[in-house]
Amino acid sequence: MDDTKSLSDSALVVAIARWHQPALAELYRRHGAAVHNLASRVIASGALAEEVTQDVFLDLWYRPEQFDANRGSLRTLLLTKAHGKAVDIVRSESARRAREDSSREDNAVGGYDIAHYAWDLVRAEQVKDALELLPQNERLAIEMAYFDGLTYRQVAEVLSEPEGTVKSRIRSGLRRLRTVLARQGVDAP
Amino acid sequence: MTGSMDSDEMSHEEVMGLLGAYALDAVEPEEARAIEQHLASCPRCSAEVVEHHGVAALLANSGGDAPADVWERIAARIEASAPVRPTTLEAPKLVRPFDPESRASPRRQVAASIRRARIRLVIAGVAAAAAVATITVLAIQVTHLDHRVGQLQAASQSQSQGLVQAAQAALNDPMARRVTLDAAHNSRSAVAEIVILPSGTAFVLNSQLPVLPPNETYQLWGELGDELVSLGLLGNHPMDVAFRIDPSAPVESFAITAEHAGGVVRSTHVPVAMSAPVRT
Repeated sequence: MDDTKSLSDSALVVAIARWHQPALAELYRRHGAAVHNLASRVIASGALAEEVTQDVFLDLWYRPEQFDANRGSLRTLLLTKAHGKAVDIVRSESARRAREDSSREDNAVGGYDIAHYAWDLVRAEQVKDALELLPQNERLAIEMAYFDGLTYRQVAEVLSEPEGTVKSRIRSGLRRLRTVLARQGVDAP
Repeated sequence: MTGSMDSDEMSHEEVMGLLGAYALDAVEPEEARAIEQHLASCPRCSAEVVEHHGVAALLANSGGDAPADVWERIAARIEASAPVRPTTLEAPKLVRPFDPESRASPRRQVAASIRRARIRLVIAGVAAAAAVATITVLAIQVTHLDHRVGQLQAASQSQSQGLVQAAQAALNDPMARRVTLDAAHNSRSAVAEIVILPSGTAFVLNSQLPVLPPNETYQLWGELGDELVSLGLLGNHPMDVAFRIDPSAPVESFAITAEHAGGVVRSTHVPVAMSAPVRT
């Protein structure tokens, strides 16, 4: 039996607190792709997405106590962290320049290939279906905020909608998504 | 800019309206600060943010492999900082290249890593041999227990009214730290909660551990530095149990094992429940 692979995420975090590197390696194997994919999607820069991925896992290594099972799964924590870091990068002026500069090198490392961005989990199909069940304006607001790293104000500006309307749509869309997914038996990871 | 951003405080309704955008990192920094201030004292809004984060995480694509070169950089950074590691475990060597599909012998590699990670404590030969064969990192830790069994404050179903009241007061104490113990092999299944008061008085509460036979007991362990010490026996059917820890030596994590009645000085059992790290 592969011992590390048999442990829960929570048990691996405990092992990380004891500086057990194979535990971090196993968590990277489990969640590294999702973290990297999300960062790539938001930042649209291969090099910067790798930096975010590295930061997220080093952060877990040095501060495992930030994981609180009462506040969601480890995967949710890692993705939340990755998203926050990616959004910070997208919104910083210097990174915006770096983003433009790196557009050429992105091609060299593959960049973001939407065709390759196929969800490969069974539940991903359900998530996709659930997204499609959302009213178009809710879905759009969520996608622009989450994947493009826009604030609700920026979304409102792009869509020429009142800010209050957009923030309400994001919230109601997320709640609706949760309800639909729960009905399909899909829980947060 | 709206009026709400000019103020440090937002009303509950204002915050609620922004929770979705906040969970997606789609608010302005000033708004984020005001929301976080509110969340610190509003469990309802905090719970909603947790839900939104969970839904958002589902939107992230999991396809493909984690990039191997990123792992190599992570491992190199960890290796570079290894000398400052505490003494609990020796810093393990790198496990790379990180390619789970192509590793010739992942089993051997993990086993070697665990051997390298063994505790430096001097241990008896027989116990050491048993430890090598033990399957989890924590189990290895548990085989190296300190020599003392802590104050055995046995629990039973007949808790006094005073204890129940004290436990309830601890739950409501804003200075208390709360730690969840999860089933060892299911991180999402909480089986008990520990509430620690600044004075060192602590309680095991809300136990959902299954009832053990009468000749067995649950035993609570705390990780202190590089030792695991017994914090007490919880009985075979734990309800609310009080125990004490030294406030000057904060416990870094907790674990519960099932033992013969009377408890043990050293456990060779894999924990049935463990907490995430509680170090500060």
